Amino acid sequence: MKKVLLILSVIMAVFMAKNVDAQTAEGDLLVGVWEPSHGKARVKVEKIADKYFGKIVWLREPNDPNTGQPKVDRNNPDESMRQVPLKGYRLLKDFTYSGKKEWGNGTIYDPENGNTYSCVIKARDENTLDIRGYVGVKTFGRTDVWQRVTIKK
Amino acid sequence: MLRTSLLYVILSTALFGCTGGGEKISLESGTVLLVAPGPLYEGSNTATVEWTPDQGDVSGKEITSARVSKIRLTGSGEYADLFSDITFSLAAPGADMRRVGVLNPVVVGDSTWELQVAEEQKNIEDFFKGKPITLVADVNLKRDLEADLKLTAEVVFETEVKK
Repeated sequence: MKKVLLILSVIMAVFMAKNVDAQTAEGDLLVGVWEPSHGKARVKVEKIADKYFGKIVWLREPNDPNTGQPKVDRNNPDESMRQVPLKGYRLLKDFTYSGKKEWGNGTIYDPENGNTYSCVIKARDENTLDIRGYVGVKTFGRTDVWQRVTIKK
Repeated sequence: MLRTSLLYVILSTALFGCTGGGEKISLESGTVLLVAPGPLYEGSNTATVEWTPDQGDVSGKEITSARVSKIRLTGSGEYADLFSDITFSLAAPGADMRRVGVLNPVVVGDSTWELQVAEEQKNIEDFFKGKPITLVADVNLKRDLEADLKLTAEVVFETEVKK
């Protein structure tokens, strides 16, 4: 009887570990370089401390036309952070994988107006994301479609 | 008379309530090594390290508020003309990532960088809830780097704990 219980618990442990691995692999689908529909930037998503973050790695117009200098976060509500460059700016923050190819609990920052919105990400497929930024409830929001830059086959 | 006394009580409560009254304690990271595994490409790259605060004096006490007061990064002399800017953030499973420092532009020739600390620092105390803190340095590289990027960081937190 003890042997049966031991075998059963080993089988369960293996099954649970495999399930966690599968969840992690599915969550990591978000990792990569993505381009929003406006095509003005590219965002690299990476995993830090078990959460997902996205930062700008490419800008179509990297320099401010007024100053000729690299663009900075001039609309940041915190004045002390307005010289943070947009190239490298982490605008997707703190996403966790909630299953079913959806990531939530995160925020998206809009450098054009300095506002941060709640955000949910849903993968249509391996190369297409629906990024929905919203205020309060998901109904009051806007969805943008992002494409993976290096297509996964 | 009663009205004056009541007003005095309200004002005193407001005044002393605002001062917090907790014990102020500095927490220092010591020297920790952040690494971004190479090869690295020109542009933004991320060096990280997990750091568990040695809470010493605050052990067993509740940290009611915290803020970063100093961030100093040091690298090898090879990096003296490698970075265009640096930002520094904190991340942890139980807290939202916070950007707490920036240096833009980076002065050519330096290999120790003192970052400007953010004025607004919300909920930094959330990082002291028992789990390791990930220290995150984002550096914009002017050119590719074949090897790992290694930076040492010294971070100082000013905390307030319940007496």
